[in-house]
Amino acid sequence: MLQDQLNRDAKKSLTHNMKWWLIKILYTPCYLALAIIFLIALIGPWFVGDPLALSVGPRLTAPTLASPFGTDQYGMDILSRVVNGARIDLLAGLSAAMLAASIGMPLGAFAAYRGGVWDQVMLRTSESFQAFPVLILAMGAIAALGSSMLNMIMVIALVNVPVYIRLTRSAVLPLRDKDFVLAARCAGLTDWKILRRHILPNVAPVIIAQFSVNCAWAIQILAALSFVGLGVKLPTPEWGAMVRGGSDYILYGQWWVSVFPGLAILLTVLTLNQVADRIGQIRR
Amino acid sequence: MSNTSPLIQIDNLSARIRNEDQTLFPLQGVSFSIERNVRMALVGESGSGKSLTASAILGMLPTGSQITDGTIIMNERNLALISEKEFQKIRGKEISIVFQNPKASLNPVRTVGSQIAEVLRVHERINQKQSHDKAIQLLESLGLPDPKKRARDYPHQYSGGMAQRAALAMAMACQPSLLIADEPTSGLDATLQQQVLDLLTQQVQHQKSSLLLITHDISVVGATCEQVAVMYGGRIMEVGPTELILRRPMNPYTEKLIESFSRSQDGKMTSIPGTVRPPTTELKGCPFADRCHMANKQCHTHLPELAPKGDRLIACINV
Repeated sequence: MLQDQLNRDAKKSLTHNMKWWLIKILYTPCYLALAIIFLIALIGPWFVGDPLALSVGPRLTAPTLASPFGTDQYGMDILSRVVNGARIDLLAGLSAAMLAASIGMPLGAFAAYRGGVWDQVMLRTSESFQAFPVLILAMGAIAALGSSMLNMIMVIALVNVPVYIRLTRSAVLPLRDKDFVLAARCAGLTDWKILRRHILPNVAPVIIAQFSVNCAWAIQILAALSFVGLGVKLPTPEWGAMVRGGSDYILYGQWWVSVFPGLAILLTVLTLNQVADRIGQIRR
Repeated sequence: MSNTSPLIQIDNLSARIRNEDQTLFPLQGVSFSIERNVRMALVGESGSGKSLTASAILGMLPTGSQITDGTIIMNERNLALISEKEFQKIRGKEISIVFQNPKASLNPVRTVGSQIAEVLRVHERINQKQSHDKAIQLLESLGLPDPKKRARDYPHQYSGGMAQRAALAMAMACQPSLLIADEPTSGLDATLQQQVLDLLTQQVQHQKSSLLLITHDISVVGATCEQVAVMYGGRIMEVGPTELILRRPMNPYTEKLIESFSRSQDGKMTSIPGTVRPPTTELKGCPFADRCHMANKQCHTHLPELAPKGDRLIACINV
């Protein structure tokens, strides 16, 4: 009897908790905004026209009802291009940040946990990477490697690896001497297991917050590289490239070519940063 | 004492810690043994080297320190010499430890059940499901109410007493033959102290393990342990049956230590004059000589060896 009552109570409180979380997530604008951006990237392209369709008719038309964002110098529909660009930029940003995290996180954790020479080597290496301005480093690497999408992602990831190394290292260091790590060692767990099952779960919130910021950085770098002409080349609907493509016309009053993709970059980066802030706050 | 060989025998154990600017000698010839199925207390002031002795037994000396001499024999192996890999098989399985702060020894972001189950899986060939079931059983046997639900809880949902039980369940999961309890009662109020000690005693008796209780508080020893080793300045001063040592201490240090925990007739608290000798040099004489009221010239120049006297072992040249 009592047990049943207890079980029921437990279930009720669980569903109650879940509801509460759902409400909290939905009513926080930045999460909602992020969800919408992802939704646009995911299914948006099915609802707009071909981003590469050249128009034989009027070019550089101002926003109208038929094409809300106007058309560019080739007569391509800007709304369609911005929506399709979401897919490219988000995918590139996500995969670059993910690649950077999956390289940097284990290295940083290892450096902190082992300490000594390994720590020094890892620190000095990441410092020497960080001595270069990120954009200059990325530009140099892209110029040398060529500007395929894969190269872009790899280079952006690489310049972000030191960030993860240092962040993970600093998060793991204070954990290394915690009692529960000691207790895990005393229970006979190997270093690898302790790192994976006891330390990493504790640094996850920091890493996730950084991941969100990192996606924003990656999108910015990608856009910046495309803007200076090193990245994605024009017919591809990439936001940075589109801003550059339209930059020649801003002075002549045809602002919409650059402004809409620029706004897309701004909103996405802003949202990702907000989300990172939020996640950062969760950890008390 | 029994005829069989002791569970663990420590002989002349010495350790050294090298810092950047100095070398310390925290253990200088520690010798004692723990019989099977016996509860033993290791008592001493802070800085006497008792915790370091425990670390040495577990092969977990802090960085910069190493064993320079002596042996720790357990099941015909010398724990002072075996590799880290071999130690990983011993820790948790044959020797385990519970710490002072049980809450801190549980990982805050994982459920208590999963942490106990993990220890079981490290040492025993069982699958995920079996290990979780066994973890629940363990929690139940330690008297945790509603263990099934509690196993899915996180440490912050536990009270101090419950966390103590969980930490103990983790330490006793693989039925180790030696459980080390490092200051398990410090920082607890008196009623909880007794509960924790009772729990320890009950578990150790139930599993037929030995207990090494490390404490600075000689008053908790009486009800819990059958044997006492008194430690000072990195050496054992006196070892023997608890009753005997507490009633009639023979080593002047033991005497003073017991005195300082009990009020004298006129109600005043007594303390041992002087401070603990920092272990910066190797000992030439008795470590307690500087503070001892019985000390003579010889005490400063002769290192007293642990010698049998009646039922006990004592290191003092004056008795």
